[in-house]
Amino acid sequence: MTAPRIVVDLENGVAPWRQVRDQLVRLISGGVLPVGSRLPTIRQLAADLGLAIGTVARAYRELETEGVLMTGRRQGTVVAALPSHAPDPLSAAAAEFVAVARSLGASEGEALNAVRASYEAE
Amino acid sequence: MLYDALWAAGVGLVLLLALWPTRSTGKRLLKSWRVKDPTSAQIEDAIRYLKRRRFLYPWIFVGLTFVPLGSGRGVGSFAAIVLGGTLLAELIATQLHREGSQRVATLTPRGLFDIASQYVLMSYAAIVVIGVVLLVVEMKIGQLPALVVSVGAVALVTWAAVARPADGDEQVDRALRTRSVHVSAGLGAALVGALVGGGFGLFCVLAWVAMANTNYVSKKIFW
Repeated sequence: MTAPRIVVDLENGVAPWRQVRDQLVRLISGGVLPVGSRLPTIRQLAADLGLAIGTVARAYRELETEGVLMTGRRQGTVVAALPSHAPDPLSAAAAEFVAVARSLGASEGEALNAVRASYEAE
Repeated sequence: MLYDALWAAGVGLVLLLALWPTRSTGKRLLKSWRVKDPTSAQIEDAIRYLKRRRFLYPWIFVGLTFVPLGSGRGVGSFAAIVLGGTLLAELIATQLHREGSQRVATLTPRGLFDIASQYVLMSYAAIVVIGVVLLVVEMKIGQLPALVVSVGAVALVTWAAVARPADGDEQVDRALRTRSVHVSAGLGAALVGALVGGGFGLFCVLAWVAMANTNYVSKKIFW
């Protein structure tokens, strides 16, 4: 089983904290991170992404304010609830696929070809 | 002193050449740490991990000649060198920065007990406590500072193995973090045994071998 991932592109014009926040929302909405899932600490995620701690902290803080995440002393940060105005699961899955395809360096055309090939293989 | 340093450098270089990791070394390492059928990229990650540590051995060999009582202790001296290499490599790894505009991270939490076996850590703690008691009872108080330094080194390796940024393949990264913690705890146990000596020293060498080969982690890892 592959662990869920976050992909941040520093040159795509969207603030990194926003990219982290939006991807977390998609993963939670799509059921990849169900309620109760533990998330990495801010320090861990910031180190792994090579971002400032404050950047990841902002994404987490936004989601805590919305009630999506909850941070406790013993359990760390966990998914507390589904985001309101959640995108439909198919859109969330598509967004997740796009993030992974980008991390692999695939172009839009290559990603679409891979999707078609998967349909044809079934 | 200079002669000792040159001799140590020579021994360190010979050790480095003998232990220089190859593809088969990397593959064997990964298999022994539960990475079944490692890919070529995974093997490269393992080789890089070993090279970063073993390249430091000659320097630590030389450095130990300048430390009073640092050399000539058999198992203890060897364990100190390997632990030193592990410690420096882990600390250097905490300072490595991500390059490129596209950054990827997995959302798997990485706490101490997510990567290390609680049995290994508890065994090491018990060996340290028993070692302190034996040193005090046998009036070998002069050995206590060395024991404290070794405990500090193991603690630092453990912290760095948890805190350092992810590097390379996720499964390999996790396995090698576990290895760093378990091997350093084993080396720490061997050092305690070398300081105490006698039958306890032999027991600690056996504990070292057992800890360094424990690839079991108590909590489920997500992959």
